[in-house]
Amino acid sequence: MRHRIAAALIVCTLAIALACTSDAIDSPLDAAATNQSPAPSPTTTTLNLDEPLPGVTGIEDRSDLSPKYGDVLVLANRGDPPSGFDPMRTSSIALHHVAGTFFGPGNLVKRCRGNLYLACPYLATSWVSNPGFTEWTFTLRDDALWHDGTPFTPEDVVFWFDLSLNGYKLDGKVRAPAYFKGDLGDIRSVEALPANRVKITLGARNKFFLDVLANPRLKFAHPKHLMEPRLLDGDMSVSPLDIGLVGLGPFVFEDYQRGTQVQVRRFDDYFEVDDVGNPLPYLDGIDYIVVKEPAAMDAAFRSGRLDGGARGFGHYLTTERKQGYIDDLGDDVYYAEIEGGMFRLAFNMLKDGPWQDPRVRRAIALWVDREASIPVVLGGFGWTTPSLGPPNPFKDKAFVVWPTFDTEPLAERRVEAKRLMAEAGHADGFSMGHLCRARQTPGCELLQAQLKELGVDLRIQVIDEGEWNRARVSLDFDSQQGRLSVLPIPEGTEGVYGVYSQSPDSYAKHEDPQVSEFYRLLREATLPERRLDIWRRLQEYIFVEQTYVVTIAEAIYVAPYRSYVKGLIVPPEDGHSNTDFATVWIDQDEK
Amino acid sequence: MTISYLLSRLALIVPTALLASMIVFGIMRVLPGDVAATILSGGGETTHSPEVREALREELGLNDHWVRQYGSWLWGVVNGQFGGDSLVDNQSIRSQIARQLPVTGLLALYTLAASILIWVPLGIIASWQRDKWPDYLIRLIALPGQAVPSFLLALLAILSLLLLFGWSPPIVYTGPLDDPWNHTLMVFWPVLLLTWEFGSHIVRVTRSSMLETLSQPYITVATAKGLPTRAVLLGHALRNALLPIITVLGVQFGALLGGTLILESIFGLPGIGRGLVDAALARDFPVVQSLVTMLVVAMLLVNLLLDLAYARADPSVSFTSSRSTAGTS
Repeated sequence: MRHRIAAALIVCTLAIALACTSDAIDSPLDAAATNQSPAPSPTTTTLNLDEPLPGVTGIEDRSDLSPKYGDVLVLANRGDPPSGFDPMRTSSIALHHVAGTFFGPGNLVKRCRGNLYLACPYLATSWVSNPGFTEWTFTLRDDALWHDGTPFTPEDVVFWFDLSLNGYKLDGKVRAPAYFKGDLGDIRSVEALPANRVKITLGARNKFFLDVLANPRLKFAHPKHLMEPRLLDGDMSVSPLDIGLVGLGPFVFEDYQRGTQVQVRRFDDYFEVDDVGNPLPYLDGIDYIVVKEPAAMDAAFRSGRLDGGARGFGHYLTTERKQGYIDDLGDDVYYAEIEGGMFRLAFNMLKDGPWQDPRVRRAIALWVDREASIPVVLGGFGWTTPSLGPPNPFKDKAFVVWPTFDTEPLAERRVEAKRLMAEAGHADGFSMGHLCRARQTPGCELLQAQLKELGVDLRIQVIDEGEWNRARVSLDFDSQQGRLSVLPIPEGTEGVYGVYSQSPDSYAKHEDPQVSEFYRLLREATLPERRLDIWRRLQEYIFVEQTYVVTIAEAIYVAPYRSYVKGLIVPPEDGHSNTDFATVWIDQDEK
Repeated sequence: MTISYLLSRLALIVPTALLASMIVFGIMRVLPGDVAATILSGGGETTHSPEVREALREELGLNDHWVRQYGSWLWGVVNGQFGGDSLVDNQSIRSQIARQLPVTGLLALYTLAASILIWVPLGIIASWQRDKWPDYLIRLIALPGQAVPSFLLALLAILSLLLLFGWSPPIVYTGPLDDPWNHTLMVFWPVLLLTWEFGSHIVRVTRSSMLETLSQPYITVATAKGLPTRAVLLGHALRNALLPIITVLGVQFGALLGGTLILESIFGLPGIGRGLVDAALARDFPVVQSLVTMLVVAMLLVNLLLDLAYARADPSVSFTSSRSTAGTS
């Protein structure tokens, strides 16, 4: 008891001390120096898109365990699912962590559970494209039912694509298209064909159309027989929540209490089965508890009220918080690791300033201490990698993984950075604005502290989420960090590295035709080796030659689960994947 | 007190609330940020085209003239919908308020009751035992309530419970009639912390007000007459010290609502405060307008109640209907 009281006193003292100092971290560098942990060694993987990637997919070895049916899993959720649970409106993880259960993990195809980088059948059992990759014909499965018992038909697919691409118009009222309309590309038509088939005709060749459709954010949540009557009644903003969250996924929506919880229960007519033919899902249901405060989630988990943590930035564990879990629960918890957001610095090339000089941008890239950012900015878990993460098959060229470019010791890089600054005529430094999303303030402060030594006065402009969503697509800033998800394939990065006129949400605002040319070549590439080669050259161009973007480190997101939660398939990256939890079961013997 | 005074005060609530809603409407328009961009950005992590954003603005009526937008909201209030629908969720604001108001209302009510029942007596004791150990102890207990932010106290409370007892408060809110035990466990800690913060002001005001009253000649006379201490304190001193206490109760009510806002998030209580913060961050202006206007009305009603309480506590206070103000006759 005395130890507990002592521990409590120490915690209180530390918390008060922390509270007194947290508003002004004078030097994140100092903090980094005392709390630095080495980044995990990057792995290399041979690219083979025909086979699963053992060791990088996060699949738990269940060879000696038999899944058991029953039980209700209790998970934390970062917040209320926004936008009436409408995946056409938002990609928020607060929605998708929940929505995979009742809308399903995919579209016509899904990311394979065994290998996120492959497309597997989901609502379509097979597909074929013409040689020019402009016509894709999908054969739909005939056993998929909406949760109200209505069969899933080609007309549902046509309706979904039409709603996504064109929205809806009636008597002067409009419904906006889906936010991911641009990701779908130039779709000319979607036709329902006999024999339960759908033909999608594209305006331009797209070999990676399956990758686009396998994006777990593109969920079928709009049954035609329920949505269309509401639209015809003039309810343009009708949402999936308005029609009872009727989906096609492994769980049926049961109840939603705003600000409190979402409950889903097993859908007995779900079509997927496991490897030995047992119907999925195994669980009777899942209760998602809305826990907005990460500390409250930690306390609830550690005291046994939760079986799993929330997904989402802020709720993923830091090293300090994880240590608390280890201290309390030891081996009773395992930690899902998912590659996540990138910490970076991007320049607005469409605005005048010293950063127009490539030597200045390169100097900044060489100066930044990337390793230091991992404990300070990323909560202690991360890789110093420039773009797609180490488990990604497209990273296997040695170039892509730090420190295989800019390999010199930091001190040497900094000497070179000083020389470049002097050569560019900025030996005395300059001032540069920095758009700073409020929740990324530690990253801004770290950059400010580091670049100060280079002579760059980084003027941080802290903005809240509302302004962040406007300003980052504007040209009203000198530099920013950006924080967008992209498809885990090279072609999927054009939205964040492409030219501003085509990709207004790109990290760095530029109109460099060379970048567009690289992406054109990527789309035209037919051989995997050629594709990788172009991707390597593109990254070298963006990150080194032009340094439009200074890639610093990629976070590894850590979510806790109780050890009795079995069958969880952890995606190596993109926490939106595998959120159907159809393969999860609870081992009562261990609980 | 006259009925006409009461009616005039109630009538004043309408223009005041309207003015408040206009100010909030203006602020929400001046604030940088765009609700359409916020919706489509999915927590700031996905991209969308300007064309889609513009279509969504059109769908949500954000391209309408501001007079029409305000008029739509006002019509939504007048017809009993509390301002129509949320732009972000497309859910009725009335249903949102119906869910959230009882949570915050109960939290405020519990806190108010606990503060009056616990801290006013402690303030009386502190004044009666001035500069003795009970006075020091009470002031020592009250001090952190004023000095330490409630969010920090809340986090410390949760951490301490976890470290000492391996226990944390429930995380699924239930109403007092649905599951009284779970409700009690869930609201106990936020109420305790709010009472600490809220009551720390009350105890100080009670103490100082009582000290001033206790130094009055009529108290000396009452004591000299041999009246029991209890009668002197409660019958004579407290009655005359009540006005400042009532005033601080009213003034602190706004702060109490601010306190619930933070603690609701930490303790997972789905109340008005949490809803207001979420709506403001998302620039969901109809929701913000409705909630703020409702809070303004609540504050005006509380002030009216305080004025009525003044008259009850002090017979020398009367209401002059001609000027529609409270005054001393």
